[in-house]
This record gives sequence, C-alpha cells and structure tokens, in this order.
Amino acid sequence: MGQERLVVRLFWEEVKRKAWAAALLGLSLFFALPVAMAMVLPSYQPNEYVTMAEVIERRVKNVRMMLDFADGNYPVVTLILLAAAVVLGISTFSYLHDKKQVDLYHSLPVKRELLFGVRMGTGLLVPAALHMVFILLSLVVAGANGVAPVLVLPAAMRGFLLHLIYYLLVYSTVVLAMMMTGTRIAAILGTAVFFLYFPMLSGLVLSYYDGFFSTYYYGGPNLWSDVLSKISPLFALFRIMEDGVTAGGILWTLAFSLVLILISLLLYKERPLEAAGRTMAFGWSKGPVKVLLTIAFGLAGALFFYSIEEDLGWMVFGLLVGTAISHCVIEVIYHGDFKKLFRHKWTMAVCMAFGLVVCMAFYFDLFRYDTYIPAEGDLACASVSFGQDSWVGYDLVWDEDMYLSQEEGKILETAQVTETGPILALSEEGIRQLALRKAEGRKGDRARNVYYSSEDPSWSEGYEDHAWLVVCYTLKSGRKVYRRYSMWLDPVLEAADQVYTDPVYKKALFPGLALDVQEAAGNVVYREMGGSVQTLQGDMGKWQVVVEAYQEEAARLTMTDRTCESPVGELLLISDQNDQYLQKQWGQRMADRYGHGWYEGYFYPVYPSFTKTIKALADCGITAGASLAPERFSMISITAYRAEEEEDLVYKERAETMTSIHITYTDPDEIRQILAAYGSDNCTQKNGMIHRDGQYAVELYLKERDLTSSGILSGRFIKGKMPEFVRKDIEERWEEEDQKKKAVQDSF
Amino acid sequence: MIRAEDLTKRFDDIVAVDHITAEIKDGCVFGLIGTNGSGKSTFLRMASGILKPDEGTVTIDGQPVWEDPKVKSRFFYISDDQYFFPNGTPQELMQFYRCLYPAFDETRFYHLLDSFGLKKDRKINTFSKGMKKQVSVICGICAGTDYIFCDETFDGLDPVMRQTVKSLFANDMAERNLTPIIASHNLRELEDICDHVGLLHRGGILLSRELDDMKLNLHKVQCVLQPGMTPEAFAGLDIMKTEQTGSIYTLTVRGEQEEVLARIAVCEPVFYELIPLSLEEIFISETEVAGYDIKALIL
Repeated sequence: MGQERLVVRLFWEEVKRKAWAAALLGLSLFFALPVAMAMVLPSYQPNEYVTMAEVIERRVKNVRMMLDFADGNYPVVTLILLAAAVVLGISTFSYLHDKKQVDLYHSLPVKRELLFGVRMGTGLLVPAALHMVFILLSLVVAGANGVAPVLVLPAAMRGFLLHLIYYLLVYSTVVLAMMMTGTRIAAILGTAVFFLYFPMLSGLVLSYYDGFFSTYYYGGPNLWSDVLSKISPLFALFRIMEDGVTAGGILWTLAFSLVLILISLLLYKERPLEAAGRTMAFGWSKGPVKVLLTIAFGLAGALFFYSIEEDLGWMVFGLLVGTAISHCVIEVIYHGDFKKLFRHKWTMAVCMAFGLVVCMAFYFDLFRYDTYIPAEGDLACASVSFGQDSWVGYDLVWDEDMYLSQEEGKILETAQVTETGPILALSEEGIRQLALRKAEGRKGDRARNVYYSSEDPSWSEGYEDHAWLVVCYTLKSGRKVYRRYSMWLDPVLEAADQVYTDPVYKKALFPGLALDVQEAAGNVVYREMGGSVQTLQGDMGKWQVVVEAYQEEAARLTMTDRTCESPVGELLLISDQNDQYLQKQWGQRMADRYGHGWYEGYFYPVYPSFTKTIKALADCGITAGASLAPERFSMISITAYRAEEEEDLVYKERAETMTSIHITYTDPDEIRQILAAYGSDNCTQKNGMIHRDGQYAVELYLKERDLTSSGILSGRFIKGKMPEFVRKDIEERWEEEDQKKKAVQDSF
Repeated sequence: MIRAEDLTKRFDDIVAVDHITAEIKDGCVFGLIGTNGSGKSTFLRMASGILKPDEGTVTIDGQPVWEDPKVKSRFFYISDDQYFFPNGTPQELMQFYRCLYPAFDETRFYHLLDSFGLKKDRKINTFSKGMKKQVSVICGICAGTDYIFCDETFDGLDPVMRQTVKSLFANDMAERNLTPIIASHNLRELEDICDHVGLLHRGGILLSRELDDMKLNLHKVQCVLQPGMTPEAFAGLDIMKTEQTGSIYTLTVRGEQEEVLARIAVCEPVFYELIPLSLEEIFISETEVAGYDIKALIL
C-alpha cells in the first residue's frame, strides 16, 4: 500500500476513534456560534433613534466580535477550543498509557514518526475542520440577518487562524505532558504543571519580594514576573485575550509550538513503551520534576505559616513540612506505593536545605535588596514618583474601543533626570527611615507592616505628606531598577525640591506645563476648588497670558511651597488631541462635559502664590478663590480633638479616648483670619503634600447654599497657620473642660 | 529466519530477558515455553518491535526488526490480551488491518469468520474471551505474513477450536511456509504442534531444541522382566529414569531406537514395547540432565 493511502487510512481510522470528541466539540461550537448568533442578531432592531444602517453596523460589529479571536467580550469559542485542546491532547496519545494498545499499535508495520504525525494531525485537523464548518454556518446566519459575509469574512478568517495557532500551542503542551508520563492521571497532573507551575512560581517569588522586602515596587520590571509568568500556554492565551494579538506574539507562539512538537516527537521515538502504566515515562525526568515541585511547595509552606504568625520559627516549620509532604506525595505517586513514602531522603534533605537558604536570604535580606543604592558612577539617569500627583492625566492612547490614559509607570520611565544626586539623597533618607522603623518594630514585626517611626509625625499629627516614594534608576548598562520607600519627606524637602523643579522632570510629570501656549489657551477654562467651571472672558490673547503665567509659576513651584498652600482653583490645560479624544469618546453626553470627571486629570491646581496667574485670570473676568471669600460665610465651627487616658469605671482598665470641644465664630474679621489659614478637604485631591493639622476640624457655614455645596465646607488648618485667637480660645475651653471634669470627679 | 542475538531487556532492576540467543527457522512451529515471568512475552514484544532491547538485536533474514516497517510487515503479533477498538466489529478490524498488511486475504477472512460462527458486524466487546482470541487468530492468519507471533493465544480456546487453529497453522505452513511462534506456559498445549521448542527461565534460555531430535534420542519402554531380573541387566542402555508398578517397569532411555530395542531383546524380557513420550516427559528428562527440576519450573 502506498504511503499516502496508508496515511489517509490511518488518519481516517483515528478520526473514527475520535468521533465522540468531535461530536462534543461540534455541539459546543454549534451552540457558541450559529445558535448564539441567531439569538443575538435579531435583538438589534431599528427604532425612532436608531436607523437600519446603524442596526446593520451593530450587527456587523457583533458578528466580528463573535468570530474574531480572543475578544474579551466573547471568549466562549476560545475557551471551548482550549478545553478541546486538552481533551484531544490527552485522548489522542492516551494509548501510550495502555499496554494493550501499545502492543497493537507498535507491532504494526508503521514507522513511529508516521503514527505520531497521523495522531498529531488528527488532533489538529478535526477541531480546525469543525471550527471552519461552524464559522461558515455562522456566516449563513449572519447573512440571513442582513450582514454581508464579505464584511465579516476577514475577522472570521483571522479568528480561525489565530484560534488554530493558539489551539496548537495548548495542544502541543498537553501532548508533551502525555509523552513524559505513563498514566492519564499523571498526564493531567503534568499538564497542570506545564500550565501553572511557572506562573505560580512567579507569583510565589513575587509574594516573597512583597512579604520580605519593604522597598519592593510592584510596577517595576522583574525577572520572575517578566519571564516565569510567561512560560505557560494558558497564561499566554489569557494575556493575549487581555492585551491583544501582535505579530511578534504570533510568531513566538508558532515557533514555541513547533519546538514543543519536535520535543514531543523526539520523546515519542525514544519513549520506552513499557512505561505504559508507570507515572513517569522517562526515568531521567523524575528527579528534576520532583525537585522543582518540592522546592516550590516547601517555599509556599514557609510563606503560608509566616503569613499567619510572622515568625521565623513558624516559617522554617512551614518550609520543612511543605517540603516533606510534597516530597513524600510525589514519591508515592511515582511508585504507586505508600510504603515508598520516604524514598530518596537525601533529595528531600537537599530540597529543604535549598529552601532554607532561600527563606533566610529573604528574611534577613542577605542580598541587601532593601538597602540597595547604585553607585552614582553607574547611573545614567533616574526618576522618582512622590506619589502625590496621581490625579494627572497623560496622553490618551487608543485601546480597542476606548481611549485610556497612559500608566504612571510609563511616566516614571520617561521623567528621567540626569542630575541624580538629589534622587540618591531621597533614597538614602528612605533607607534610613526604614532602618529606624525596623529598629522600633516589635519582635516579629516586619518593616513591611510598620509604616511610621516615632520620628515621623505624619501619622500622629495627621499630616498628608507621608509618601510612597518610587525611585527608578536607569543604570548605564540600560537596566532599570525600581525601589519604593514609605517615608516622611520633610527631612529631604530640599532634595525633593531640586528634583521637582528640574524642568525636564516637571514637564514630564505635568504634561500641561509642556503644552503649546496657543493650543492650551484654546481649551482653557477655570474651576474654583469644589465649584463650577467658568469660561474665561476676553480674547485669545488674554487666555494665552493666563496659560503662560501658569506654566511659568507652576514650573517654579516647589514641594516646600506645596506643604503650606491650599489650591484656590483649577485651570484646564489639555491638548487638542486629548480633548478631541474625550469629546469623541463621550460625544453623546457632552452637554456637561466637565461635570463627569473625564477631564479631571487635566485640571491643574492654582495656588494662592500664583499671583501672576491670578491677576491674568482677573483680566479675563475671573476672581480666583472667590468661593472662599469671607462674606460668603455666616459662621465657622472649629472642633478640637484631644486624646485622654482615663480609667474605665467598669473594667478598671486604663484606655485612651478622644474628646472634643466645639467653638463657633461669627465675627467677619475672625472668619477672614480663619479662612486665610484654612485648607479645604477638596484641596488634598490636587495637593497631597499639604501639611494640615489633624487635631482641628474646621467647618465653614455658607450664608446661602448653591448648587455645588451642601451649605457646609469641611477642612483643617494649614500647619502652623492657625490664628492666635483660635489657639487661645481652644486652650481656654480645654481648661474649662478640665475643671468641669475635676468637679465631677470630686463629687464622686 | 528470525535470529535473536544476545537479547537483553531490563525493567528497572529486573532483568526480564537475559542475553538470549536463539534462531527460529522458517516453516516450523517454534514453541516458547516458560513459567509466568520467565520472559516469553517480553521476548515476543521485542521480536515484534514493540520494546527496544537494551542489548542485542532481533533480525528477520538479517534485517533488524526495530523501527523497520518493511520487516515488521512480515509478521503479525497477537498479544496475550489483544486490544480491540471500543465498539469495533470484526469487519472494522479487518478493514484496519487490511490497510496495514498488503497481503491481507479479505475473502478468507469472511470465510473463516463464517466457519468459526462469528458475526462480522457484531461488536467484539460482546464476544467471549475465546471468541476474541478466534478473531485475533483469524486476522493473523489472513494477514498473509510470513510469521505469526502468538502470546498465550491458545489459552482460552476450547479443545475443538484449539485443534482447528492448529489445523489452520498447519495448512498455512504447508501452503505458504508460515512460521508460527507460540509462547505458552502450558507444555501440553504445544505438544502436538511444535517442531522446535525454546525453554525460558528467569529471562534466560535453558534449551532450544528440535522436538524430533529430542524424541529420536529419548524413548519410553514398558516391560515385564524375567523373574529375578532387574533393569540393571540391560547392559549398555542409558537409562535415565526407572519406575516400577508391580512387575511392570517403565524406563526412560536415551539412545537410537533400534539400538535400544536390540539391547532389550538380548535380555529376553517377558514383554516389552515402546510407548510415546509426552513433551512434558521429554522436558523433564532434558532439564533434569541440565540440572533443573522441570516440575518446579513449569508444571
């Protein structure tokens, strides 16, 4: 018999063997494609608002979504084919796990390569053919609903090919697991290992970083997350469903699948057929697989117990138990005999020793991760995020059907300054404060959970300048290193100011300051803090003056300035492109375009010290800070808080309680003085650096309610600016309170 | 001719086949006997190219069997527990084998199915163990291969079917020089069919001999001696075993038939005759000579 006829015959015989799987797959695709389409498409009907042409456009969009690959809105087909790849991968080569079938197939006069090819081909072509059939059926259904097949054919073919490629990746991984194992249970476990081991190991290592290194930054590049998490066909598929398909990704997937198939073929040829029924087909694979799993389970055990008790002893206990249990279970699975529980004790001991080294390296930071600072000579440039300006909106980028703002992490990479000295000074201070917190931490406390030291008043006094500082070092080698410090900025405000006022850094951090004046002036509007938007009066020339003044004054603004200034209003600085994107995106609801928060990232704060800007605004008919004009308020109420330790009369224990007093002011002059020291709660949205006194709450009562307020404005005093008469009044009131309390106690 | 040379197979620390060297000549029936675990199935699985030998080779007419479809198309292997496709029928099985063995005789297949009373479209998994064996044998016979490897194939066949199968083998041996290689743990099963026997024990081959050669040189004599005479009186006879029941002696004697009869006649016994030796008796004698207790090995 000619080779071709033999191949066809074997292929056909194999197809007959896979009839059940084909039937299941066919049924699933039948419901997922033509039936689902026939149910969904007629739901789009024309009405008084939607024309027939728009209906057809929506139907076309829907058909494309259902037929194309990995659309997050309709991943059903992808998931069906993913399941089919696993089922067919296992069933196609499950004969290798059955002695009777092995005897039959391998006594036949057929080369192993041909047997392999026929089986691989069957597992690939059967789902491909079925998928194509149901795509064609779907096109018929789409056509019946007024969608011309030519409009959706490219998406359908793209979907078909990409599904096939990613099916091949998952399928070839399952086949590799089949080649390496000797029972179906072992093959399923092996598939799970191929699918999940590296992503879970990546997650485990990152959990160690997060749990033990106080300066670990999630957003930075990390070998573990960048490489390990990608070594999984399942995660590759999920990532593509999330991030979209790229040509490079497709090529890599194809190449990786082919490599997997070649390895599988090699193993198929070399496979000892007596391995049917054993757990692992190849003796050489037992050791490495066991060691890799045992170490991972040991480390997971250590982390689990540590996360409960935060104690080194429990961590070691978890490591030993995790390693021992996993090693024993694997030995039992390998030998299929419970009595072989403690085989290869030395391997277990080596795994424990290795795990112990890893645990100690993290626990004691043996590699000095938390104290890392690059030598200045090794640094090409560096950047820092003070974590105080997360409100800023960056360039909008097109992503599927939406425009999204670029991530802050990308800005951190681009806002690099070459004058790295101040950034290194910030890092040194961060490390110093970390060491202080560690030294003060209770026994068993990890620095990760202790954010404030006794030196840092941010917490106790309610200041808002406690920062999560993220530093990005770009080394001369091109490598980027990230560290994050939880720190109080006051000791290094000078260094912070140097970075903050660097023009390169400032313009990268605040794109509105780098905008072309004319372009920005075309879109500029003003908004009082917590108030409504006001359009600038006058001509474009005056608006340009406002923008120029703001850009100039904002460029000079320092972190130190921000600690004692509360913004009075906001100026919209947005590029034409971003404005158009937003208008297009929200086009049908733009009646109140600034009222929904879409432009929030482009409203820049105007500080009281921006006198030039405020004057230019006045020239355009706008009084910046008018919302806090004293004449608007009828009364101001101040609440002062004090922590007191007193004995509980019932339980006879000493407990700390907060007591408060209230003082109200109605005198216009007093109201004026208080407003001059007032920092509203709204202002912290745009100025997280402001130092406000947490011991006093200030409530402003409006004479007349307006549309944007409830009648009461809440805030606090800016640090050190509380008027002297208020301080005096509060002290007197506390004295009165103390006397009243003493009188009550005396009466007892 | 099939030749196994220095054939060795280990499963972890167990040596299943230990440096076996044997030849299987064309046109004869080769019986491979041994206890369970003696290596018969492993030998056949290596001979049919399923298992790769750790050492040594199996060749057919000088061509290695391993991974050579051309060589593998010259034999048909029937395992001790043959696999049949789920819900498969004899007809479907035939169609599968037909595409793999070019000389498959479809007409004969249907004819034999009828003869054995097997329906071509009945699911094989509804057949009895013996009927499944019959289907396998019919496929093997009709495949038209030069060799047929049978692993415990006669186990499960009733005596009538066993004889029928033996007849089929005999017919094909006569017509197209078929060479059946039959592995069994039961000596009695192979007795009336084997031309050549190989005895395996613990992975090694104890002996490999032509059955006729063994029969020619080994005889069983039943005799009644003159009063006062003992078998020691037979001068020059190589008596391997003596049994006495009353006055009747049963002697197992080695040597040429004529010479044995002549030496007995010289002593003028009251009565004497040669009776046929069973394969079991031949093996008992041969292996005892080799220093083994065959009853402990096989029976």
